[in-house]
Amino acid sequence: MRKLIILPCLLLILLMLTSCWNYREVNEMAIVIGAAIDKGKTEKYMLTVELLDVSGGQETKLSTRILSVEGETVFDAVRRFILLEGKRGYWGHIRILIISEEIARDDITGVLNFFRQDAETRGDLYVIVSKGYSAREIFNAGTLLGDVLSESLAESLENSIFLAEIPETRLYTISQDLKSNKTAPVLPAITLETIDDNTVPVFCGSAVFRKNRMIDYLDKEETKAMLFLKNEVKEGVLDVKTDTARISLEIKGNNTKIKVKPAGNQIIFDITVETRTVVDEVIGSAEFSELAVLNEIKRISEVQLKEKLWNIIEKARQLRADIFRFGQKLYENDPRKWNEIADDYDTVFANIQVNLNVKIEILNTSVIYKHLNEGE
Amino acid sequence: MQRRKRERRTVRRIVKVTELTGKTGTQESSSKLTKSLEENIKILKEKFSNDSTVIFRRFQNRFMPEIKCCIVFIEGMIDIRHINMQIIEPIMEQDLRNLSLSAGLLEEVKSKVLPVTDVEESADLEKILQSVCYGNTVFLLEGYDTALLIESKGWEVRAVTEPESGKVIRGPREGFTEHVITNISLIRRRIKNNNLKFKFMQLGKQTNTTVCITYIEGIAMENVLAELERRLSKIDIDGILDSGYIQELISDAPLSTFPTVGYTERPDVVVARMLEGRIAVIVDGSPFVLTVPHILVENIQVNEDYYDHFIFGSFNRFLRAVASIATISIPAIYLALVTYHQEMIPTQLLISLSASLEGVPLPTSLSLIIMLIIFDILREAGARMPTAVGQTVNIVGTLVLGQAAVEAHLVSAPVIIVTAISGITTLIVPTLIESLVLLRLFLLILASVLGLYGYFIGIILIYLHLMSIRSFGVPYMMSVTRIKNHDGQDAWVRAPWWTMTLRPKIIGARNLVRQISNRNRR
Repeated sequence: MRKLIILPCLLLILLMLTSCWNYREVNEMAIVIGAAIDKGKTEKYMLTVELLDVSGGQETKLSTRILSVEGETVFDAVRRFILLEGKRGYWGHIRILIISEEIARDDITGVLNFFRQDAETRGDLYVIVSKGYSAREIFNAGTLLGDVLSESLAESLENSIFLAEIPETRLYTISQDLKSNKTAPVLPAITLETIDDNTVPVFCGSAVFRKNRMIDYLDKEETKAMLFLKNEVKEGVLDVKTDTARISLEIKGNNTKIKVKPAGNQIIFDITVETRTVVDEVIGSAEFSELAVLNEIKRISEVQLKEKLWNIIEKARQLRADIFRFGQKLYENDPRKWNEIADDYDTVFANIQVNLNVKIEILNTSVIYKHLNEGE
Repeated sequence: MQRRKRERRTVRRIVKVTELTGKTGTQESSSKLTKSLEENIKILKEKFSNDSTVIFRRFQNRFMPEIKCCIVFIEGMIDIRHINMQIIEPIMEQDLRNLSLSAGLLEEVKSKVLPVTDVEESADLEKILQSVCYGNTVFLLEGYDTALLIESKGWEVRAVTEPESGKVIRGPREGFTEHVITNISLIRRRIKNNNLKFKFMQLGKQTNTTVCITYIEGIAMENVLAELERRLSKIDIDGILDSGYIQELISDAPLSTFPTVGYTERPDVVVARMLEGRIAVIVDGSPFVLTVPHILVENIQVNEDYYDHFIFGSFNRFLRAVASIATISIPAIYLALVTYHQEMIPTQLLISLSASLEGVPLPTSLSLIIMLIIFDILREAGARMPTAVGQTVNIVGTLVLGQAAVEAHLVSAPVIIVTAISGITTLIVPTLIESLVLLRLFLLILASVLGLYGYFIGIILIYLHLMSIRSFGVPYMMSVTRIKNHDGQDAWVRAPWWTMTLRPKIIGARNLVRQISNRNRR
């Protein structure tokens, strides 16, 4: 008898322990696939979202709609969608978030906090900064790329590891960088370009932040150099100019080792960049089938890469932004030293000493035939 | 509560009254035979009053008309040729003059005249009456107050055919029939050994059904046998029409939807189980033979697993296990994902789901429940109806409920797909159908209220329940959860025969060694 009373009670407790009741049919939600945030005209923010518009029936037709709404906070704007759309937005499948340069230069945390803290949005969201245009313009321009702009932008970011010109920055990376205070966050930058009379969004390097404020842009070459130092290059192309030819080396793998050597007040970083490449494309004349020529190409490419790396280090020093995660490395190796300099890291970073060592290995020539010479 | 008590009291009173009247009834009529033949016939006629199928045949010997006798039998229960040739003819035609007419005449008739195998002398009227009912012939002789009970059973019996359930591609095709003796012979033919034992008992106060306990002495556990006999002897029901009655009455967990008593229609399965230490119960009138103890894995063990190559057998068995888990899980998980955890669905899939759900008025949970119930209705209709109408159900099921419902936007296409997958996977383990159909709805309702959380609560509850029940002292989940030593050899997979040197533990504990490894001997 007692069992009969206790059992339903236990079951009831089990049922009550669940924290949220959110039964929701799929067709009753407006699926948000991408969002863009600008400064509002009347209120603080203007939120633009790309919504998936699914029409059912025998064949699934997929289209998107762009909607804009203003609000004092991001969440305020999010909920005001109900007035426009009728349905509540569903943020569980959002792929990209575009933040306008204006907001990025002002303060990025105010925007990111909503996406970081909300239960529905996800951490693998890509965060992008719009360069020269408002974030909303990017959304309105790009219907060329595919059915769903956000989806295709996210895909190009996903595949950017084969290019090594865009930093692939997800929401959790940037929030980690912001939280740790050791690294200057870098976000991919996007702008509009006119190609064949169509204005389409194109990635153009990256945006550098100091703490929560954007300070400058890096172009594609600079971004690639930065990625080399961050050890985030997996594949890509290394362009080498010799006196007689222009050679593309295909990067097959890269390993950048950073060693920290504290020496009194000075902090020394020993950086070794080891890149494995193959010769892929040759324009001009170069007898790459000869070992001596190959060695010459190797020497030149090392010098040229080294120069690029020095340039970006110099730029970062000037910006006083540690975009290479050197601070993180220092903290990992010598936390005591880090604690000493933590408050003043920006100035310390401007004066760090770097020993750069570049080794490029040319594994083979992935070229089947000799190149066609002009005269032949 | 009050009312139930009162009901129970009235039932008790009724039982008391019937017991009293029963006693007075037997006292009134005489329970003994007399020495007079006519008197005896009168007594029997009174007992079988209003039953014209009971035949009384008086006859005398040609040479000695003073030998007056009468046989009593029931038409349809006996073999007429047998009675003509073996009972009436010898007594009528033979010269019995050299028999002494003294007190030993009945004995002499029994030993010298009647050429039948099974004759018994009895004075007990109750026994005589019962014997007639079983299809024996009662032989009454003038001047004796005892009767001969002569075996003469003979009635129409269904031939041994291949059973409808549990068809095999490879393996014996014989199936049990409704006749207990035929069934026993099917088992006996497979175990030619004097260790094979049969214990008979009669159950059912009105039907007097023959029930036979079969086991192999030296392998079967004695305490299980004793427990089985105790449970059978406690059965106090008026009739037993199928072994299902007994299955329910001796079950360890009758309220559970999982069967704790196994049943099969195939003699090879029964024998395989007996060789593992189980005990079989054959019930007259039922082609389904019960086996105890019964554990969960037996439901996914199919006889063909043991006849096929062991890798193929294991693969099939694994499919069965996965399918029976899938059948209860798929509707619940689908519902939980679509209505609670949309973030777990890949974006592309969510888009197509969203498209297919567009314009469907019913909520997913309700449409799933309705479709599953409709599927069960189709299943039930398909099982019962005459084969000629089968086409109609198929067409109604596939066209009207499947295609037309989707086209009319009454239900979404994924719901139909989920129902179909779940429906087909139920049928893969026939003995668990009754259990899985109910558990599927149970999990579906939990998932519709609580999402995946509810689904997991349901799974945990089912698991706890399975872990808590036993069948004749054997844990129901035996060899499901352990794979150490020999435990897992015959559960999720079927190990090759040369490695299965031991019988399943606990069930075959009395005589564990099945074989000494064949491998080394080769």
